[in-house]
Amino acid sequence: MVKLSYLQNVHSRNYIHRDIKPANILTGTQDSPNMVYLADFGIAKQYRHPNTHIHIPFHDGIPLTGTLAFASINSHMGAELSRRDDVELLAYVLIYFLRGSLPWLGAGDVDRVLQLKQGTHADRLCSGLPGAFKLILEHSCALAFTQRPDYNLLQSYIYDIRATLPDPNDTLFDWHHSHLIPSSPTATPVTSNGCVRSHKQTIPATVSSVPTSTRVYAFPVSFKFDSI
Amino acid sequence: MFVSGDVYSGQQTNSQINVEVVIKIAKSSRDAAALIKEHQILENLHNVCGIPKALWLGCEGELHVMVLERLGPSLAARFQACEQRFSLNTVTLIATQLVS
Repeated sequence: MVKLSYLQNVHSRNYIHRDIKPANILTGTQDSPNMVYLADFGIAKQYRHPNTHIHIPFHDGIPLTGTLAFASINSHMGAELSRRDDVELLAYVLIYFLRGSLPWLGAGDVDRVLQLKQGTHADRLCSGLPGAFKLILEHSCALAFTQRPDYNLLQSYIYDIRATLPDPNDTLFDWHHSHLIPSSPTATPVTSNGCVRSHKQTIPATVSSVPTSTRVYAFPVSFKFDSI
Repeated sequence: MFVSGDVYSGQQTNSQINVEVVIKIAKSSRDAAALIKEHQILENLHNVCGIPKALWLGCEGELHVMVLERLGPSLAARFQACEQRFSLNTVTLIATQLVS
């Protein structure tokens, strides 16, 4: 049985996410510590008809979709996005995690960010990293608008890197080792430099101690919540 | 720029077990339309591994509200906590789930 990746699964159900970024990938709870989750489908889009699989047509002149720091070059160019852009976004995110930054973070305006994205050759962007990350980025850039990403190829790139690790079976994330784990199980918003879209996350540090201002609503499954 | 609404944390109160949830609230009609669309997408992605579950969508007074299962911190928060660097092991673990 082939296990589908999240991206392949979402794409196979006719959607593209369009806003893959660190803030939209959530870690698991105590019940699922080894998982990550792809969250926030607020600007996801159906890219093909669910029955006929006819792909949406190409358009341009569209305002930048998603988040400036991780937006694909096509998105900068005002193009309608497709599956290839999800792969490009993910490549930027992975490279960002390894490098600790991206050359265009903090560049300020949209034009400068695009200039740096176009001007930074994949070799330089991925210098010092395993070659597979460059290959993932190049794969996304080589895809045509309606073309299906080669998920098996992407998978093989990742597996190849894992095979080179001292312990390929190590399934512990860095934060499992870290003493810097946030005390709260909730995310605080992190505004990476250059992000133009952010969710206001008004999440109290401790939910268990419910403040007096908490209002209890009579939802069908009733919830109480804070900070209204 | 597009902002689909405010996000709050909460708890389900009529359950024996303590269910932690996230509550997304739309404050304008445009936000409400986006929220309803997002809920529809999450319904269509129901049972897909690695996608948060939508628990409820409805109106509370004039506000459109979506309730989702609450998960752990985002990778943005984890990245900050790990001093802005993840190991190759962690990055490939993340990548394995997302693309392979």
